[in-house]
Amino acid sequence: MSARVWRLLVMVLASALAGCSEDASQMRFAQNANIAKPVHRKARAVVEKTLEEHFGTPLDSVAWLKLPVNYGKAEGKVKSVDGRSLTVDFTQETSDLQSLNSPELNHAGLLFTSGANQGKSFLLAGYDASDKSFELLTTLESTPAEGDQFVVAGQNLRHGRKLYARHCQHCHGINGDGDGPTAKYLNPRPRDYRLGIFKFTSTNKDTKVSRDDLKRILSQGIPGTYMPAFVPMLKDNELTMVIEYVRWLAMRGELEVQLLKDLKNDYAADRAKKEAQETKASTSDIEKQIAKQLEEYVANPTEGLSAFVENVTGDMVSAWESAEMTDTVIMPPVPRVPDTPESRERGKSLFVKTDGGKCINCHGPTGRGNGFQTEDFQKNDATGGFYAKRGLHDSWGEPIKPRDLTRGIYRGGRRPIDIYRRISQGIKGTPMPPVAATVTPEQIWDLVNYVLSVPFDSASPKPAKSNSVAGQPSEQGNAN
Amino acid sequence: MSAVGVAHEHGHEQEHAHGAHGHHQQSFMQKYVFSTDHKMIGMQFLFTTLLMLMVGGALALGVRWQLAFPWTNMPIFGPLFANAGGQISPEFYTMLFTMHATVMIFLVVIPVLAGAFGNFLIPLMIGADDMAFPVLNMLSYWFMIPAIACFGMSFVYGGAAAGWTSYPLLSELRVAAPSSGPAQTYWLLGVTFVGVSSMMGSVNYMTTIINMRAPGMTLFRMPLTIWGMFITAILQAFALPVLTAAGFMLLFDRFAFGGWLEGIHTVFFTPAGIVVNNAAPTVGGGQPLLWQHLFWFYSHPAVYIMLLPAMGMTSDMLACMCRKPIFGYKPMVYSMSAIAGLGFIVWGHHMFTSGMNPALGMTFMVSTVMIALPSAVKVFNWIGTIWGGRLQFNTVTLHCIAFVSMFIVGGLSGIFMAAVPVDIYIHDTYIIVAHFHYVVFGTTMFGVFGAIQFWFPKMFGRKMNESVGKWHFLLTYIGFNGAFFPMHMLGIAGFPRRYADPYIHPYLEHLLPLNQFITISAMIMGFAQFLLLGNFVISIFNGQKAGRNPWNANGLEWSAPSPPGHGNFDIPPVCYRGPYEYSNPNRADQDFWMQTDPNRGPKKPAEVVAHGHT
Amino acid sequence: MRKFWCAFFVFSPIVAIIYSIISSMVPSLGWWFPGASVTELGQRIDNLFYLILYIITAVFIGTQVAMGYVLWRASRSKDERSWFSHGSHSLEVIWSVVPSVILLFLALYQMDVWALFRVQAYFPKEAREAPVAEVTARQFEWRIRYPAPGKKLQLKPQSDDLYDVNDLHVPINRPVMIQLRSEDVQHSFFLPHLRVKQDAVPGQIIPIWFKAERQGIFDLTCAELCGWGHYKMRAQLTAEREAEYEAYLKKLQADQNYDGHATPSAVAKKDE
Repeated sequence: MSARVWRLLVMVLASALAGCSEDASQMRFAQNANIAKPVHRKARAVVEKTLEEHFGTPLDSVAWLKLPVNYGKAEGKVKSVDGRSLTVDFTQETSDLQSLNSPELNHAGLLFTSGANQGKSFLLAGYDASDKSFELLTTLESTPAEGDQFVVAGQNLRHGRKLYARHCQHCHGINGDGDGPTAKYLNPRPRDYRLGIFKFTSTNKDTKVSRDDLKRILSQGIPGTYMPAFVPMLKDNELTMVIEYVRWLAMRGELEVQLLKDLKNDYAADRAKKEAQETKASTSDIEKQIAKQLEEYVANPTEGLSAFVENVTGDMVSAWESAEMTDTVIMPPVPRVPDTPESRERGKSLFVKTDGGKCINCHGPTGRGNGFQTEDFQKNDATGGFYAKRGLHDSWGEPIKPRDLTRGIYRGGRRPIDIYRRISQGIKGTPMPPVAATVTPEQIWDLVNYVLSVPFDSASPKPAKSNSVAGQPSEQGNAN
Repeated sequence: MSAVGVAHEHGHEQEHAHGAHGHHQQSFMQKYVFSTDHKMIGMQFLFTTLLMLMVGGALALGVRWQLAFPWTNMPIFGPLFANAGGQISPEFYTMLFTMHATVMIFLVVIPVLAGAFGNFLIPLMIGADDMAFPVLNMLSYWFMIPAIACFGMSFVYGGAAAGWTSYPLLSELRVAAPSSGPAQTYWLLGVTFVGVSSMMGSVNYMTTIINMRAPGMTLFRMPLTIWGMFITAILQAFALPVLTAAGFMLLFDRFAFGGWLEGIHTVFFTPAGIVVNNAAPTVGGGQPLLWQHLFWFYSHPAVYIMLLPAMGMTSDMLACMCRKPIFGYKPMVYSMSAIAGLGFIVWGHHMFTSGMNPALGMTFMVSTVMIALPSAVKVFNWIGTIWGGRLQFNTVTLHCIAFVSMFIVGGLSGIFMAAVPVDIYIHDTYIIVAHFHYVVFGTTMFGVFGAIQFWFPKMFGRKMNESVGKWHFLLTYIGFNGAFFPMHMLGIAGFPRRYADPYIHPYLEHLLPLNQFITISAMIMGFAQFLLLGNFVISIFNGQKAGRNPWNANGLEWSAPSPPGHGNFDIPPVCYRGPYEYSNPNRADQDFWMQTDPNRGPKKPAEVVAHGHT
Repeated sequence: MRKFWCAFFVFSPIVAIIYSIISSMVPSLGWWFPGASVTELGQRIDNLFYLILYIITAVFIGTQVAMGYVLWRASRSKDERSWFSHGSHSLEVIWSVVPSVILLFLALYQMDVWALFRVQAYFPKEAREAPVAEVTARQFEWRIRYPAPGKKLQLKPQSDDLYDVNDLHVPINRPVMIQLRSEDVQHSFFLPHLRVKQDAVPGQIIPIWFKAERQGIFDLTCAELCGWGHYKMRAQLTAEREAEYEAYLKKLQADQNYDGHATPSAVAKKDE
């Protein structure tokens, strides 16, 4: 009996240990269910294929060099070849040589941009800094000549993905869709990156979030939500890599959303059924038609899929690039108006004005976040109708409450400049509108002074207070 | 004898004993399912707890996996997380350790000691034909099933995940944690059912032991097993109501029916003005620390409930295996009583850092440190029992020695925690985990494994396989020590409990290899339990047949047939002496002297009979 | 087999002792305290730990040796019968009284360390009168509120209070006190290097004092289950010289009043 028992034990142990590492079959990007549902499945397959081509899978990501993502790129020319070893010279200006020290270089891709191997990518084993040589995992198909150009990229992205998987994924999801396993328990829900919108930015209302903004959010957290401050948990270079990965996920998401929206019109999910009813043809014939049309669309070089992708990514790239320009960052033209009672009064009167910014419509006359808009039905721009539930909604379709200013919690930061930016440019993705067009910077500063004084204003009613417990005050007015 | 044989014997005896009834054999349901026979109920408990042992063990291995291979695809549980790339989520981890502890404490250790062995042994050892309240006894088992069902239902909602200690406000506010919705409610109901089951058992045991002892069985002739069960029953009777009350208070705090009942609930543990997860601020006036006091008022005696019966059983087994009386029988009884008594005034040692009044810390420190004394006395007495004995190393002996040896480790490590200033540092670190696993697993469970093998012949008329038993012991012992001894070091290094990913903290990063070693050891230990289960099940059908008294032990149970029929004893037992008359010089012909043996002097060899009664 | 089992039961305690000795003597393994205590009171805790450790090691060795001895003798006993003994009254007395004395001594000896840690009346006066910060634990980070430089920390937040997250700065070489609160559920403020731990209870404000004897950055972690992110509450304590501490607070103030221009504009000191 004992020998059999032992063998059984070993087998059970072995099978239990199977799947020790990350399982490739489970770690994959899923489609945006809401937006994908109305789209025909063949069209969805096209979208998936396109995304996989340009972005890869989570464990096998593709560094699409067109996108303004810092993949850890290093480019240069081949100097000499020796079996699997490649000695090179780098183009210093465009190369991030630091990233070559990353352990993620193992299995990163080396792409030849000229020569016999042009357009082909090979996996790397490592890099030797002492003699500037790359070690490849496989032998090259054709021996590269001296002077052949190459690009190495992706190690930062891979490192970012690892950090993301460890720290962010369970809330923000593998796709960055804000729907990880923990997400449904959180109020507010984690950000869905795929619209490319981030709320708390320093950039103007028409510009995307900048790297600095993302870094600030990661370092400071978002008080009053479950987004914690990730410093000191993440070191500075780790923050950078995670940010790149998040931006990459956002870009991927944006492309996905745009593709699906575009294809929804011509390739609706129920198109076959509808047309079959109208034309009395069989569904299978129409399906064949749809398939053929899609093929043509994909193959069409000038007006088909590739052109569309070209356009969308072109816009996307310039949008993300402009976020890094200094001229899109909002810097108040004048220093803060001194925080005097008079300034606060001016701010208050601006706040309660029924024309102009209409702050009280949402935030209420005392800033409690109970303005009448919280009871009204809001228009749904996407469907043209109204939202089913009362109150305000954000761009992701979730209900959103205006901030209760008496609590002293400022999700985007409590510095005067942060409040200035919120008021001036609004909060992207929310009904909070920009007012820069209708007020002067001094007036914005007056509003800032007023807003910052609300938690301390004895005139306004306080948040729920109770009897102290055992002589200890229990008021949660810690303004944090 | 197989189980079928028992049924036959049952019906047969019944016809003889209850002739006036004219009653036929009991139905399958009456005999095996809703049995009022304490032996059957004991076996029901035993089978159920062995199954729950594997469930709790699987949950523990999940915890260990995450600590050794963080965020990798966990076997069995990983595929549940298809939308997370096979990584478990952090709240799943909190569920794993919560349900591991819950299942092990409430569904394994307490029921196997009180429910399985208490039920099976008490009437047999004191010479009664059944418990004082057989129907109540049956109910005490059947209340375990709703408890298991409730814990199962909590899994449907993700499983309770606020720790087995379930501290409010985490466990109380639905928005505070994913598990604090229906899962927590079901958990509380499950604990309530377990409490009811235990109370029923405790009432039964106390009454039976006080009232139904055989003639001649004075209190100080009872085996230490019975003393252990008796004192445990008293502990349960006094401590459980507090837990049940606390559970109901928490349940009522959590109520939030819809409609016009919305928001009607108590606030025993809820302070006012707390905003969690951007929900409305709480209304309150309650005190979270109150739960801790109430919970630990039960849960500290609970750990002695999880220890004393095993101590009693081990004393009996050890005396038998060493062929010697237990060293210091009365001191052993007094020590158990002292442990139980002191156990009621030490609960605050779980709360030293909780923010309770520091003066309480001082009083609890003294009582906690003093509770080491009776435990130490017991250890010395066990060693004294082996001293001068004649020992053979069968599986029962091995388990008993391991019991004593690991109780030494567990007990001594407890002194660190009793010292309040030291506890400031080590509270909620892995040294606590090491300590309680040494006392609950290393001590109690080894005692239970020994007891299973010791009383198996009485239960089923067959012996378990010795070599498989020894391999099981060896692997379990090595795996156990490999898993839990290094945890002391982890605790000293400041490794906190209940962390899904400790390695993001710089001062803990280097501890990954040690954790991997612990996990491998834990896996060895976990899989070794299949040996025990296999041995248990197969021996029921194929084990070497055993007579009434295969170990030549003294207790009353060994004078009954193996397995005992309905009514237990074919001849009503009378007790003539204490339970530890091994190697008594007045009995030169054999090295044991059964309690039921009426012979008072030396016997000529020819008249020696195999069993104790004429 | 007897020799094997006797050796087996003696072997495992020996392994345990060797392992413990290695862990305590080879700090580079990291299987022991995370360095010497940064606070003097923490050092006293370590001393108590060692005292208990020596006592229990002696007891451990004694009992395991006794166990091994009796096992050995019992397993190779040539006698026909065991020694028939129900116990020894004098032994019972000895091994009841001696441990009681040792245990009681241990219990009472530590009282003053505990009082120093916890009883507010024993806190150093300068710490008690001027808490340096209010630390609010929340799911899942540590929010810190300092009073403006030169001011005292008030119970209610003031408009010029300074805020930071996950990085508590304290000056070294003087006792400091923080007020610990929780915003939601129970947490626990644990500084392993300083041997400080205190649960944060919602609805209560609990003072904690300590005196860092050297500068450095020390881990601050949560030590009470507070939800799924319990492990994520990684923070740090930055213990620095007085001058650097004040510079930090000034920088925090400047950052907090940042309005996009180099010098922060004057903030009128109007409180309610």
